[in-house]
Amino acid sequence: MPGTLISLEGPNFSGRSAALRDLASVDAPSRTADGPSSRRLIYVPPEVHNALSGLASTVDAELRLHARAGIAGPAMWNIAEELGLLALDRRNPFDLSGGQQALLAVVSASAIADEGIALDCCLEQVDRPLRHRLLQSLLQRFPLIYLADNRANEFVGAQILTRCPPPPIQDSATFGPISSVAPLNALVSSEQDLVLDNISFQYARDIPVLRDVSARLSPGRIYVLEGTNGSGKSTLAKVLCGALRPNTGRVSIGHTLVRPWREPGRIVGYHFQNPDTQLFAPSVEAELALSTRRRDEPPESAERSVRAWANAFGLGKVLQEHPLDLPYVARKRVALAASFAMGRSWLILDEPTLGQDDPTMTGLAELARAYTKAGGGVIIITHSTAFRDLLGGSTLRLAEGSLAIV
Amino acid sequence: MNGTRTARLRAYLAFSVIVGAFISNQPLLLAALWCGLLVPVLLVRPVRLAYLRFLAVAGLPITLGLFFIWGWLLRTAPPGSAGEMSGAAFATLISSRLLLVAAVIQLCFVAMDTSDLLWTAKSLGLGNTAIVALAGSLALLPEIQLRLRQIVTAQKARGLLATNTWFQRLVTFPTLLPPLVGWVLRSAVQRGETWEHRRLLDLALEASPRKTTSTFAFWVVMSLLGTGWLALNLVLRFRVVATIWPPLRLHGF
Amino acid sequence: MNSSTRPPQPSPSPAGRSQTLALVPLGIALNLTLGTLVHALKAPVYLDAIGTIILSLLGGFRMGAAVGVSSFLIGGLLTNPVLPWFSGTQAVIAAYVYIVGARGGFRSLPRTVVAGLGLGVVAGIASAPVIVALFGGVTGSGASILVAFLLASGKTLLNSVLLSGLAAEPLDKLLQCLIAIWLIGRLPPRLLDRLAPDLRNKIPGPLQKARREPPSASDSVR
Repeated sequence: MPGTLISLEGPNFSGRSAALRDLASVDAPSRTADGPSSRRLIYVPPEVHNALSGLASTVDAELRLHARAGIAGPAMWNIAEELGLLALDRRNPFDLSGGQQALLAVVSASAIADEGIALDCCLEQVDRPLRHRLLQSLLQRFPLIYLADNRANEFVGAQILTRCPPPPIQDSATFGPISSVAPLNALVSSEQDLVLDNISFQYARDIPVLRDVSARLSPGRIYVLEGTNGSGKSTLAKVLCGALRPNTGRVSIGHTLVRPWREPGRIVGYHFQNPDTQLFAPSVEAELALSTRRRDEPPESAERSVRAWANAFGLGKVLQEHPLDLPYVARKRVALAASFAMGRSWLILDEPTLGQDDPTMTGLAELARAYTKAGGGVIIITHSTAFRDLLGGSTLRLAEGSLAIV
Repeated sequence: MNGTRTARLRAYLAFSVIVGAFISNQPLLLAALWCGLLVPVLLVRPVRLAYLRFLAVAGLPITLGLFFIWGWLLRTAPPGSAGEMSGAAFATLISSRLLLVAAVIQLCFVAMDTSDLLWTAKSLGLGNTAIVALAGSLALLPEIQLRLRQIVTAQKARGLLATNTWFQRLVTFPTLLPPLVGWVLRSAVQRGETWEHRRLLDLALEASPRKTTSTFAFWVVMSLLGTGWLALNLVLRFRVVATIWPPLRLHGF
Repeated sequence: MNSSTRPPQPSPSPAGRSQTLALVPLGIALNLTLGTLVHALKAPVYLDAIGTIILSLLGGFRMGAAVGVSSFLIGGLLTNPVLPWFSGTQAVIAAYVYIVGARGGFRSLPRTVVAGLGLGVVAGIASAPVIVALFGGVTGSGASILVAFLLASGKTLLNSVLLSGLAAEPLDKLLQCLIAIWLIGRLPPRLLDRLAPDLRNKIPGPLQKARREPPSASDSVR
């Protein structure tokens, strides 16, 4: 008898995470009367890297640690193999891509759950076929799967059996919607194409990630970069923005050779999938100011810029908050705002819609279009079909280390 | 359970060798034991790597410093410290002692992964709070290094960091500390929540180490040798046996 | 029945448990990582007690001492077997920071400078017997050269080590105190409030954030 998938619907900040945590008793003190074999609903947060134990130095050890609970038996190993986790068995869990970490976190959670699993915005970054297979497997094994995910419609379509409306909105006055009214006048637009010529890259001692990647990208357009989990999309983005130096190959703007690794982040800006990676300042205001600062810009103008970008991302009321004190959804927005505010000719956004509800997603698409109208080029990495449809644009497919324009 | 007994034997071996080494004031004996310990140290790969790192970081600088100051500069041992001996002998005494203590600690404890180390700590009687703290730090150490790399990459991507020269890297290093510590703190809080929610520490401590009875015999033998070493040094330093049986005094005991 | 109009607050985790799970490992990891990093850069400072200082301010003497001693014991296992012998110094550092911190010794920049220099003196005195008895006066750092010089000029071993410690330690410990206070000021304040409610009495005024309601009552810090 397959289990029931209950999807919690609702906009951001309506309390779905709190509801899931409550259901899974995450904040309740441990009950000493229950032994280690008593399990309940296991909650998986949006920050999947914090759902990894940290006690295992390999994927295999992580799975074996959870398997010690003795609940799952071979079912967990079967699904781990189907999802490709066993092929990664010697890798360090923290070195995996976001989607791979999400799979590992959920599969290992399934090894210790007996009542069910509560998934909080953690599956959006997982490849569609793998996500589908994972949910099927979970529904076969557990009576209840709770899901709070803004892209739930794209996951299972007609298979959602129960929709559960969220509790009344408790506090949405703090965060506003995203709007495309943003100070894009400071954008450094480029008239010329970004040309990649036979770019290759491999991490030391690993198999090559990028093999002879070549492409010609025109400014003023949106490109959607597709590829399976672990195919090298984030690596390509890091090479383009200059955080990594390619082993071979050249990058040019028009006919001019450029070396992004010598001046990283100056030509191409990159928004990371994990927002926590790129929050450096003690307040939202200071974070945005890091992006907007120009040597020749007077302070009043820089301050206006910061406020304008904060308002564009609905962060006007939390300017003095420490970014790491904000909820995940808000941290993602702060990181997005900081990336947009850099005003680079090219901007790469890695899974920008993670945790963001549909109105926010629409706002992001409009902002991306406004960015290209102002002369910039935008490359977006996303798993969301709805977001891709909103964006339009051309598709770049990365497979086996090579790039093709579809 | 053999796992518990092996853990206790390891601890006992380390204890007996270290105490014996500190009791001893025989430089050549210490140097000889160190040479003997080098054999297993160099044979076991993780221990070899750790020991070579220790030599580079601390062992060799201290040894060279000792020989420079006591062996060459002053040429005599400090008064009242270890009896009458030359500076070079004193330098040999201190440096051999340090090098062999490092070797035995690493031999006994380095070649273990996290679960085994936690399990060993538990079997040696460490309380739950201490085990939790130990597990947390072992989990955090590699994560801090990973996070540092990721923050450097992210700062580059924001155009905030140019690290082409060593000097630039040194000057911009302080800007990495607050986000690193803030992120790690937040991560640690959330990970603590994951541990409690999933009861992961119970799982980590449930199973015994993978080591089998084949190594148990090894540790028994080593512990006997360690006991012998301790006894030898007690005899040599304090004439222990002679006080028990005076006739042995004639034989220099 | 109370007719309060405030929304229900999420119940926080007991501070003790969270501190053990989060703060203590962080302190240990900070001591080890920064100490190793600085040593690799061959800088003339140690920076191996920043975690101890932060934890003594956040959680009291016992927590600071636990962090300091454990970090050196763990460091002894993992990287440098010389460290465990200086665990006693870490405990002394924890005690000093806790006592001085509780009396407001870190509440302003000038006070922090004085406290840091004082910590250097205390740490130097605490380490001297270990360096004399176990290391023959040599720790492999630059201070050993000063020891050699003082020995050659006729001073006893203990005095030479003490004097060289007094020359090197205050600067290092001052730097560590300044870095620790600076870092605390840059940490997420709401998170810190949950973990260490009485911290705001100990650190400089400008670093304290005014207490406000959380931005969203339904989303605790996650």
